[in-house]
Amino acid sequence: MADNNQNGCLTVGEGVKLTGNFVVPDIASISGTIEGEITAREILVGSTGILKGKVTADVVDVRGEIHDNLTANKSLFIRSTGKVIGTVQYTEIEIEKGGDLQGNLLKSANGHSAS
Amino acid sequence: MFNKKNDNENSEFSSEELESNEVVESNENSESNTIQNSGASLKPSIISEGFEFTGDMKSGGSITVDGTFKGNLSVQTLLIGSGGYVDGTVTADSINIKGVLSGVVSCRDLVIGGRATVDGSLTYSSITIQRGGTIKGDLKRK
Repeated sequence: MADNNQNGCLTVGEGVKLTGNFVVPDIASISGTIEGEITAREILVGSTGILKGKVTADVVDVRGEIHDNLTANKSLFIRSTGKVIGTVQYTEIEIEKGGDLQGNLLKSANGHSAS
Repeated sequence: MFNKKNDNENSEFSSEELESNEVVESNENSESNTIQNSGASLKPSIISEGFEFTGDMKSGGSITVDGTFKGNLSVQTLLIGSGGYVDGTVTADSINIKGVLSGVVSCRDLVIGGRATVDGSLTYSSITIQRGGTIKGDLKRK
């Protein structure tokens, strides 16, 4: 899923479980389970991916699950299989039909203009 | 990379005729500001641009709000146009928002357009937000 240039990218395969704090300079592509804190430029959660904890990124694309706390500084996409539960802060949001979003929503004040 | 999805659903007129008779009951003189649709073929009721309505409304059919509605609204289908504003308690089967909706909302199918603003407490079964739509508050799934 990540681009050809893997510098600064994190890929977590299906079945892999990680716990801790992660800082990813570029793209984090998650098909496994991560518990803890993750910060990245872009987070792609695959359909089998589960994130629990504090998630912060510019762009978040969810086909799996994100629990607890999510901050998307630019864009948040929840696909039809995606599920986001908890406190969500976003600047721009899109949910496909079937996507699940529950909890408290806040729109960031520092609104980036839509590209 | 991310395709913009524009599946505006125009299914407002699909299931009205089946359910019209059971939804519209004997509420005719219970509330002073009640507008109702009755009869077999329910045409959509429209609150036009510039029209401001305060009170309660019930309908087994569809309501289009291009003006301003404040109060309690119970309908089958609610469509809020791009200039429309609805504030209050809304219960509906399906809601399509292009304008502004605030208050307590309970529905089955919720569609929030790209320029819409929704604020308040929402309960839904299915939700779609087009890119650019703004949503604030508490969300719950039925």
